[in-house]
Amino acid sequence: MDASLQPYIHLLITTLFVIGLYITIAYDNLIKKVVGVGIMQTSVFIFYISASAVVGGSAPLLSADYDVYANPLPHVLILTAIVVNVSITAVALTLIVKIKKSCGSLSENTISKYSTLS
Amino acid sequence: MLRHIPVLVVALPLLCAPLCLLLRNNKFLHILSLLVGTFSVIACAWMLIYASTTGDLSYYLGGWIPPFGIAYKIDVLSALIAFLLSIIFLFVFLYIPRSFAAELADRHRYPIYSALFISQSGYTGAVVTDDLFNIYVFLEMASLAGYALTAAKGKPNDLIAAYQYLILGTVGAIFLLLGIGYLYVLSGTLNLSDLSLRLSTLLDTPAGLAALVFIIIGLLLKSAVFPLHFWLPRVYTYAPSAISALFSGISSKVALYLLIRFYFDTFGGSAFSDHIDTILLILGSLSILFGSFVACRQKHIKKMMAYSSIGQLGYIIVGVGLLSSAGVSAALINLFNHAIIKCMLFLALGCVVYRMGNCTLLELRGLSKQMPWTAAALVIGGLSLIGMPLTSGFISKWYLITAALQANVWLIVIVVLTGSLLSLIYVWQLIAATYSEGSKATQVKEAPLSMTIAVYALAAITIYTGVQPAWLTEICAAVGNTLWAQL
Repeated sequence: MDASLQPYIHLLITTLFVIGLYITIAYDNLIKKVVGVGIMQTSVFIFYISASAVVGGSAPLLSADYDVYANPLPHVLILTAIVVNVSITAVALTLIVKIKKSCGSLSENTISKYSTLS
Repeated sequence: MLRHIPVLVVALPLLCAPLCLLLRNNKFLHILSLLVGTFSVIACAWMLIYASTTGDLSYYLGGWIPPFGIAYKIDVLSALIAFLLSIIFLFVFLYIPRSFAAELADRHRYPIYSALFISQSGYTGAVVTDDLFNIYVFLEMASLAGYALTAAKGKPNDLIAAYQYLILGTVGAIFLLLGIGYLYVLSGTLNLSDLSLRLSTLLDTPAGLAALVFIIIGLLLKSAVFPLHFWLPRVYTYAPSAISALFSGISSKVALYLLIRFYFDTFGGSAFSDHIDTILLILGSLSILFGSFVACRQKHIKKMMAYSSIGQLGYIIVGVGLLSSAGVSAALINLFNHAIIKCMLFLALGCVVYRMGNCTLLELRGLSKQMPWTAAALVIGGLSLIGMPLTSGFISKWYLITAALQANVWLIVIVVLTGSLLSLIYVWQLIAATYSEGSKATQVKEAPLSMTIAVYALAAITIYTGVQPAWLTEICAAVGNTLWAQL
């Protein structure tokens, strides 16, 4: 990747990561917390992908036309991580649906009151 | 055939997981789980013997030689942890059918087996693999199964506990993933053995420090050490009995194993030792004091044991933070013994819940008359938590204190002894209630045989290790020396 861009990419990643962490910790709504976790994960994905980019690099094709390649391995890793991310979001949303059904609320404060009572 | 053992202990449970959803027959699945459990114990025992007598055991997936392909590498350390996991899984599998029959509807039980197999495969995989990214994927696989298992009963409290566990567990995993990313960008390799060779010159960079810090934060969050412990008491209290036993024995222990692996094997311990080992010592001490103190104030025994777990995890962290060969082996002895003791205690509490429906101090009154075997098991586990001689708890504390004395950290000796004193207080409440006169009119029988057998098998390991500690201490000392020799 173009070296002059590197600090900006890192700034972007850090900003997204901190925003995600803040939403996860500070917000009361259960779904928003999951969104926060998603933002955090995405920032880490960008970190992996940006590290693999090469200026003028093509996809790693076996051809005489190209001789500079981007590193494909981080892409593969992030594909796997995205699958993990999707499964976690699915499980989280399933739990939220069940919580909403049994407690009737999506607010963590209300729910924790409910759980100490019962 | 023997060549494939390292991959079979991971692949076999994974293959069984979808089978559960296809077969949908609880009785058959019970037999299948026992078979897989027995196979894992035998295979892991073989790996442990092989690793400690012959040397490291390697398996290259698809025949690709590392650093290009993914490799599994089993040294004595990972073989010991894999062996521990397999024992706990076997006895939990033995315990489950009767225990779940009381807690879950029939049609909810076969998916549970599926989640259990995935969790077994994931945790064992995270232990035996030699590939950084594999560790993340396996750990998340096991954790996902864990979230589902926590919520298995489907009551509001369980769901909320599972949700909090999911959010914090995932945040921990993201920190771990970020740390792994830094390591990869820094070194260009994902193979752990290759990484430790390449990193030696790169460690003093800020990126190296960032990687270490992110990985440690992630793993401490996953293992619930003091300031990051919020999710643990709820999960242990509200999950089904057998599942709390499984978590207490396994999930935090695997995270701590990875901490030892990264800290000593990959980063070589001394690189940033000045600050990080002090932080670990402080966190460990706070964990011991806080966990044990809060445990004294609990009336619900499962919650009491959950807080006691936070305290006991502190002993392991302190052992790591001592930064000596003796410290690491003490941490490992603590890790092994605590996993067995806590698993056994939670299984015994599960027996109480099975008959009484709950396990507060009130239900425990007069237990010794009605369920003498369960009551005796609770006493054995309790004494072991305090660290009475002839139980394995004594061995762990003895080695930890010796290591602290060798390292000349007197404050840690005081903290460990205070922790022991506090555990005496909460265990005493437990034993006093168990052997007091029961005011209850209702008469209950002893727990079913299969559940009692599982409890007593683990109790036998505790007492055997307490009387004949040589097998464990020799292995742990060897691991400590090997990790130390690399630095």
